[in-house]
Amino acid sequence: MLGAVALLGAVCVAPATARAEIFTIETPVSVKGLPPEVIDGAVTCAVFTEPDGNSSNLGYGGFGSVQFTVKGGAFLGRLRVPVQLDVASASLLRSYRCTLYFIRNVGGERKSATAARLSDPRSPDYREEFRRARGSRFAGEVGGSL
Amino acid sequence: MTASTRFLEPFRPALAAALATAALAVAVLPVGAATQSYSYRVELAGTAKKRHAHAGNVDWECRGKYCIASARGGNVSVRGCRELASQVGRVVSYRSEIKHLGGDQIDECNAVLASDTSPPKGAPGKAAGLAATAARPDSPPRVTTEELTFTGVHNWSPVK
Repeated sequence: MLGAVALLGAVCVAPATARAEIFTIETPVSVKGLPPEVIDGAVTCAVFTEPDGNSSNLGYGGFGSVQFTVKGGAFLGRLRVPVQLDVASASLLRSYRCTLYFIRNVGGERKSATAARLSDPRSPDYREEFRRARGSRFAGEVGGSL
Repeated sequence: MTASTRFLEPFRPALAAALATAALAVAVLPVGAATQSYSYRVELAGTAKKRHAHAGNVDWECRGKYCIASARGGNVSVRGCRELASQVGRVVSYRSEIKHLGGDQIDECNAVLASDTSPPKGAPGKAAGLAATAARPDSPPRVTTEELTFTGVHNWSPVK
C-alpha cells in the first residue's frame, strides 16, 4: 500500500509542484463505538523533506488539519487534508504522517488527544471508555513515502 | 558561529543575562534535578507572532522562527507547547536540554491551531478548506493514505 502511495505521490507531485502551496492528502477514516463524550474528530497531517521524516520528525515541510463531526459515536468518510507547505515546492517532500484525534467534551471544554494515546492501555492518557473492540483493526497513525 | 547556533544570535543579550543568572544560581544553590534550570528551545514553522509569551508557566523570548526560555526541571509537555503555539504560531520542534516532544506530540500541540481555523460543523469531509483547494485553477498534488480506523466498545442505538 505504501508503495502505491509513494508511486501516486511521485506521479502527482513531480509535474505540478513549482508554485504549489497546498499539498492535499486524502485519508479514509472509519471510526465507531466511540463514547458519547466524543463530539468531533480530526486528522492532522505533516509532511517532511527527509525520507524518514515521518518517524524522525526531521525536515518538517508543512502541516494541515481537518475536523469531522462524530455522530452516534461514529464517522465514516474520506477527508481531504490541505497541507500548507512551509517549503518552496512540494517536489521537495519525501514523507508524510497523518494522525487521528478524538475531541472530547469534558465539562464544556474541548479536549483533544490522539486516538492512540486514548486507547493504548500502556499510555498514561489511556481511558477505559476508549478501549478497542477485541479483534478489531486499529490505525491511529499512517505515514509513508512521497 | 555554526549553523546550529546561528539562531541564537538575536538572543545574545538575553542569553548573556540568563547565563549570568544561571552561573549565580549554580554558585549559590545546591543543584538537584528538580531545581536545576534548563534552557528550552522551540522552532516555529514561521515567524513568531509576538516577541514575548507566557506559556507553560514559563516566560518565552521569541525572535524570528525561534523561541527560548529557561525553566526548572527540564520537562516538556504538550500542554505547554499548546499554550505557546496558540500565541506565537505553529511549532516544529519543542525541546529542553534533556527532553523533547515526539512527532505525534508536536502534531497534538499544533492541533490547537487547527481548532482555531476549523471548518464549520455538520459538514464532515466537506470542510471549507477543501472547497478552497478544489477551487484552485491548477489542481494541487494529492496523495491517498491508508485508512485511519478505530473500533470502540460502545453500542449506540441507530440514529433516528
